[in-house]
Amino acid sequence: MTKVDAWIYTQVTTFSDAETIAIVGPAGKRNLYDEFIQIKSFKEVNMYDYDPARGKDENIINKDVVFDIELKEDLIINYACEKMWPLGKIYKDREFILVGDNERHNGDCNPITSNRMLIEQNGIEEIWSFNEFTRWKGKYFVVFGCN
Amino acid sequence: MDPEIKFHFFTFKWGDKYGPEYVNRLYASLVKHCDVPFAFTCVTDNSAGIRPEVLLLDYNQIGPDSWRSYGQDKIFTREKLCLMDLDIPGTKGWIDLDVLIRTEVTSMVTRDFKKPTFILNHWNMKKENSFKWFGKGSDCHVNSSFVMWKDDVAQWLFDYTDKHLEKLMFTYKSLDKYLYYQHWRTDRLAFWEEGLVDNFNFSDPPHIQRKGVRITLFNTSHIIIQGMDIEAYELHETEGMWPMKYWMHYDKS
Repeated sequence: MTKVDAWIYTQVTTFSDAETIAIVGPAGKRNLYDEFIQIKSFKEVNMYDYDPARGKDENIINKDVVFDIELKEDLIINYACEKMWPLGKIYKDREFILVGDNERHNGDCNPITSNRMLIEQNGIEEIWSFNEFTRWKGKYFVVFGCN
Repeated sequence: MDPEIKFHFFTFKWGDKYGPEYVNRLYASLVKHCDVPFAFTCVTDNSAGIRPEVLLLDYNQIGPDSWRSYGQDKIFTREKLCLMDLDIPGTKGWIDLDVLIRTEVTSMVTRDFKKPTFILNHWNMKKENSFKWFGKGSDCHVNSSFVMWKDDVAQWLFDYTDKHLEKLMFTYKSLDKYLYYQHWRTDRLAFWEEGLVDNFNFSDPPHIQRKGVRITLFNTSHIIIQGMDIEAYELHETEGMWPMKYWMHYDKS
């Protein structure tokens, strides 16, 4: 498990009140999904990825959570904040774990340069924890809270 | 608009990247290769040098104020979608200036379009890893240089864009990426069949004159933006190569 996944796992299993979880933009990562579906207090765990190539995975809901559908889950874990409109502007009264990086890849519309940026963009009113992790060329910024 | 005219082509020229010769030769190429009566309109901020047969629309008046309030780094060339909101019956389309029409296109433009019809970058889709970076937002296999539709079958695209304008402007730098990630992905668009359109700079091998191709693209802007190490040419840079002969020939039409 990566350092980021381990941090998320600890936050969720220690502090979250959620019964349902949405994992947005997991790409090839399945660590958290595999762990969470084994925890009985989580009634539903869903992964969302709009990449058509990911649609072959029966555990992936192949939709864009900004433009295609409305998330219903209590907790939204967003692995790809740098690539999308802030989900906290769409979804209110939810728990969020927000992950974004500052590497400014070609497809990044929203490079994340600080935890404060994640908090402000998503309207996070209660901040429960936050952290930073070194990446290849930059950093991951991670925030856990609710709006 | 003349009610007898059932086909309406548009092109855009703003700024100083392309001169009026691009407009005039594009118009002349349609005169030569499109056998139905049509109107040809240039949406421009500078009509100097454009031949009188070409109709004009003011670039600075096209589209809603809300669309014009964003910079050119947001859904670049989004103005084209505003044509889908024009209340003109018949078949409509836009053609970018950096396009060379080589042979007859009547059979392409007189179709009974059920969806707005765009170019699919077949030349890139066959390359290894061509879809590998979809999730990262780096791929783009849609091109909006030659687009046609009929009556109001494309109205939804303007309406969708207008409805989600703030989120879309935040997310996408170019029109082609927006179309690819939101509408190719969801099968809302149609595409010209493979072999009708090629790309002078990107088709493999590049720079050759392929048989059967009716339209050739010469776009280089993303090569410059992305700093790609590719030998690429705009139409006016093809001196001594086959496209220049075609292009210059249209001065006589």
